[in-house]
Amino acid sequence: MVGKGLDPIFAQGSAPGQSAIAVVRLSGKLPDSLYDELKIYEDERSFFLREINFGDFADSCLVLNFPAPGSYTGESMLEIHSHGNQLIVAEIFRWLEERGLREAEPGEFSKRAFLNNKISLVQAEGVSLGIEAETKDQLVALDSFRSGVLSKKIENVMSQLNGVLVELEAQLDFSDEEDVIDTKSGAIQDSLSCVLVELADLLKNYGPFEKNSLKKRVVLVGRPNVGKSSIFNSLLNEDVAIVSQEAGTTRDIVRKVLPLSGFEVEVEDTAGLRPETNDAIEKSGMVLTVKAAESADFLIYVTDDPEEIVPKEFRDRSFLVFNKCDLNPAPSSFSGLSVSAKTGEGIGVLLEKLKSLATSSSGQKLISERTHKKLEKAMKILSKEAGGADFFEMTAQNIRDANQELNEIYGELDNEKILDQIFNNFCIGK
Amino acid sequence: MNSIFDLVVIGGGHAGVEAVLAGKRMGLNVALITLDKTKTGRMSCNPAIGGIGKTHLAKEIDALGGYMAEATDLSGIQFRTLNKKKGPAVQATRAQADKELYEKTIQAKLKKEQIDVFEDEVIDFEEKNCEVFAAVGKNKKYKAKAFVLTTGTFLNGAILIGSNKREGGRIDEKKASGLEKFFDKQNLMLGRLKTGTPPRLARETINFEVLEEQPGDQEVCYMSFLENKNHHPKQVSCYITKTNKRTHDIIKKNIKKSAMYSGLISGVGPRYCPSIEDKIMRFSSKDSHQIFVEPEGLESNWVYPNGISTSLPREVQEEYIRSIEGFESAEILQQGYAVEYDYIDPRNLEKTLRLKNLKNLFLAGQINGTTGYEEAGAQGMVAGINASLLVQKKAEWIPQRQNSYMGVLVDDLTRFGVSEPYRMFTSRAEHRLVLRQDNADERMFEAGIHMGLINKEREEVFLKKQKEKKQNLEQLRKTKIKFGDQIKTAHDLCKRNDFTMEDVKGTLEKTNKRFGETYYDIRYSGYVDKQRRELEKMRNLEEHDLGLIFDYAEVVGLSGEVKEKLNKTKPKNLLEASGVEGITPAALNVLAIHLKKIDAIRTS
Ligand SMILES: Cc1cc2nc3c(=O)[nH]c(=O)nc-3n(C[C@H](O)[C@H](O)[C@H](O)COP(=O)(O)OP(=O)(O)OC[C@H]3O[C@@H](n4cnc5c(N)ncnc54)[C@H](O)[C@@H]3O)c2cc1C
Repeated sequence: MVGKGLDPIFAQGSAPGQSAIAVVRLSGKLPDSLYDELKIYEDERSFFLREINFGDFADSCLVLNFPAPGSYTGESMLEIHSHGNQLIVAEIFRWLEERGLREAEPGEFSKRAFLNNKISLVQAEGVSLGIEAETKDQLVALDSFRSGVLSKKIENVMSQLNGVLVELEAQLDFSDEEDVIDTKSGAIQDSLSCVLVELADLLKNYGPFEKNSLKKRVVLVGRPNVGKSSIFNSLLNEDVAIVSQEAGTTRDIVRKVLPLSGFEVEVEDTAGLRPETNDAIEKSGMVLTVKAAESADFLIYVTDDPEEIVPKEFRDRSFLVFNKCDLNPAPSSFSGLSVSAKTGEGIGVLLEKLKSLATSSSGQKLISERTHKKLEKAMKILSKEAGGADFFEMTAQNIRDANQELNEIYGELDNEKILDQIFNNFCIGK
Repeated sequence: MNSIFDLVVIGGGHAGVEAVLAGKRMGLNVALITLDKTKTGRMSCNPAIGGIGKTHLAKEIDALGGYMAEATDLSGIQFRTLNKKKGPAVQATRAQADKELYEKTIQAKLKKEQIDVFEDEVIDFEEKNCEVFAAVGKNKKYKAKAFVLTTGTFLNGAILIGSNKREGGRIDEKKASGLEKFFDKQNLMLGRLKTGTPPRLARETINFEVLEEQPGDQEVCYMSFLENKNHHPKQVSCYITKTNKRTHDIIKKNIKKSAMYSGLISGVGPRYCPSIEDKIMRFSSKDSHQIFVEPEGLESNWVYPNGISTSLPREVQEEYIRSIEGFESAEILQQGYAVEYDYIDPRNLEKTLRLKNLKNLFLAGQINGTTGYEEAGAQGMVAGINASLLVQKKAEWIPQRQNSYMGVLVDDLTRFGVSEPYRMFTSRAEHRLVLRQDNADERMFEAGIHMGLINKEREEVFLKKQKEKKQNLEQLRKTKIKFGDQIKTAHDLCKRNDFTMEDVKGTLEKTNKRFGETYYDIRYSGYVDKQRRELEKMRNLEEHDLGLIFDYAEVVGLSGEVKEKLNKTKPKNLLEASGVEGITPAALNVLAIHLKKIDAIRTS
């Protein structure tokens, strides 16, 4: 008895890293020798405690059997739950490879599930978002994708566009008919502008989901030599940024991901800002700082002078931190947080602050990158300027092209490339 | 004696004429069988060729060496460009034809090409192993290697006027029958469609003084790419009048007497060509409708009042006609009538217009559910060419949507079928901007030359035009224009909206009469690229062979309906599958993945 499906594959189903248990999933035409070795009947849907011998050592694993077709992929599947150590997982991988299995391509499990009619394409995409969604608002976004709130909005845009198209086509194909009165291009332009406003709204309220868009970016800014790099290092609890007495040591942006019990933020240390430098490299470092600050989710403005007036471009968006409180404490009138990178005082409070930031909602709902791209494309096509004698035909063409983009969001996809794209973004093994 | 031909075309309407001429150009031994020789090439309804979308087809027929456009140039008594205020993709040359001169011109052409024309009625086909070997006429049998059938409005045609229903394919012409039994044997269901025509009026009884005159264009324009090779006869004007409240009252009062409203007609008529009864009943808020008063010929006293086709009884026709300004004392020469006829669901056809279950029988024209001379001619072309290619044992030719209205036509018909008589509109073409009437020659040239449809004369005319366009292009490229501190070429300006075509032209030293075409080639070059990409994508689809899938029930991810359709149609490859009704791009993806899966299993 061998398993059913395509060539057998495996992948880690749990997040890599230290955890209580690690899950490795197997799917496809699993070799009968494997079932024999594990003393499992291929069609017995159950779980078994098995001591698996990896040669150098053995681990006590829980093995779950999902016979085809009642499994996630629709193929024969096994799940091996081992102790959550990456080394053990690596051993399991090697052990499986010796038995003729190969590691799955990204998204291959879901692709098979889709092939075997287990999930729909939209579901597949939703699932792929679900795996990677970590904050609450992303899950809400998923909800609106699945529940059809978004699709209603897109449909609405399309039906408005079709309304304009009908008007245009009448002008083009039936201009010689008595009933078709000349429409002015201005009127068409007006109706289109209304649709554009709605599309722009959609784009504003639904952001593209990218893996990195999950991480909130926190940027440290301030004058040179106030201790930004020291705070950076103590937040991360390691020496990443170079620290020196000399003002202007940090000239490039130093980035590091800070794990905060289940969440992550990206912290960026930047070159200090001072108007009086002549050093070209330092100047260009400052340009980078301003840029990083502009696109940051959150700013920490570091100072060592409680009297300092925060520059107005940062004022509203930053959290004020007074460093070096071990040397002289801030006056009681100081509104920010006092810390000492040196002694670690206040750093814990700062970390808490960052954590609440990481889990807060940005108000923007997320949709897949593909969907967002389509919306953007439709917007771009419709914003194309049309004019001249061929205004009507050009505008009609633009609407048709835009509608095609919108059609491809919910409706069906146009070619295999798109499908591959979705599955490539997929977390393997779910 | 039974004759043996390469190609036999049945029906001397617009479809049949183009089909038989195409076969002749391709060097075949051809014959045309028709009910009445003297009516070959007859315009059954309005005396005009062209219209938005229709002209595009006429020009494509011409580009493949067909005769419709030349005959129009030789018999056209008024030429006008429609949609002049819009861009070139939707502009269309429309010609008013001298009806009699038109058919005489067609008949002279058939004679000149020495095509055997037989007067006979084909009532059956003899067939063995899905191959037709003879058309059975009432007089004799016609053997051939391939057949094109174009019965127009004649197959079991019925003429309807008021409560009167009689047999006939056109007024005063008999119907054709017998073939319905053949189709029945082939398990092909026939459907009924209908169309109508207005009463014809005597010119001398119309008061033209009170009518608005509508002259043709000042500038001479031609339907054929051969342009001034064919000289137009004398040019005349058309006129405009309109219905009024009294007309409407008369029609409303008598509506029950119309064949269309009395339940006499079962066939579906074209929505875009409604009878006056329909216009008045469906758009009751309108109190007037326009009528174009078109002469049917220079010598003829027949006048065609365009816009008031009807199937009301004669006395009502007379009454409402005379309620119209200018028609107060008009005499009716021929009553308006509706005709109902058999057609075949075109989904039974390959894109070559060959019947799927017969190896060598092609169908073209009204029998496939279309309406219009140009639509018929275009299909005649596709069917005639492919029947000839079959005889020559050469690969078939399928026009594509991406580069021709012919492609749009055969694709729409064979994929979606028809629910009412099908007519061409530019909005049916996704690639409208690049499917212009003026570049039909470029779009068809390669195929035309390849299949031997284009003679030396046409080729020279074509190459000369290309040369002229190239000269303009060179001028555009080398003319530099200063914008502040930037230098642009005139070529760059073609895509900008703040410069009109005239503005750009004004910057050039010299241009020729092809300037507009050159300008729009550049302006739409982005769309040409897109069109090319799509054609490439299609070629890719063609490479996916579906021969390995024997039962679509096995393909997971397809809906039951789609599976059933695929099992029924058995497409050869993904391209063909994409043409099956209801097949979405997602379904194609599922098929592509399934193919990969099969491949994986076979190679593992
Ligand atoms: C009353 C009426 C109203 C119309 N109204 C419109 C309109 O509003 N708009 C529009 O675009 N078009 C209209 N037309 C349609 C237009 O005339 C046709 O679309 C066009 O002529 C179709 O061309 P065809 O070649 O398919 O057929 P036809 O022009 O009908 O030619 C058919 C030919 O086949 C021959 N034939 C038929 N059966 C046999 C047989 N068994 N054996 C031998 N010969 C046979 C006939 O003699 C005839 O020569 C109308 C036609 C009629 C009759």
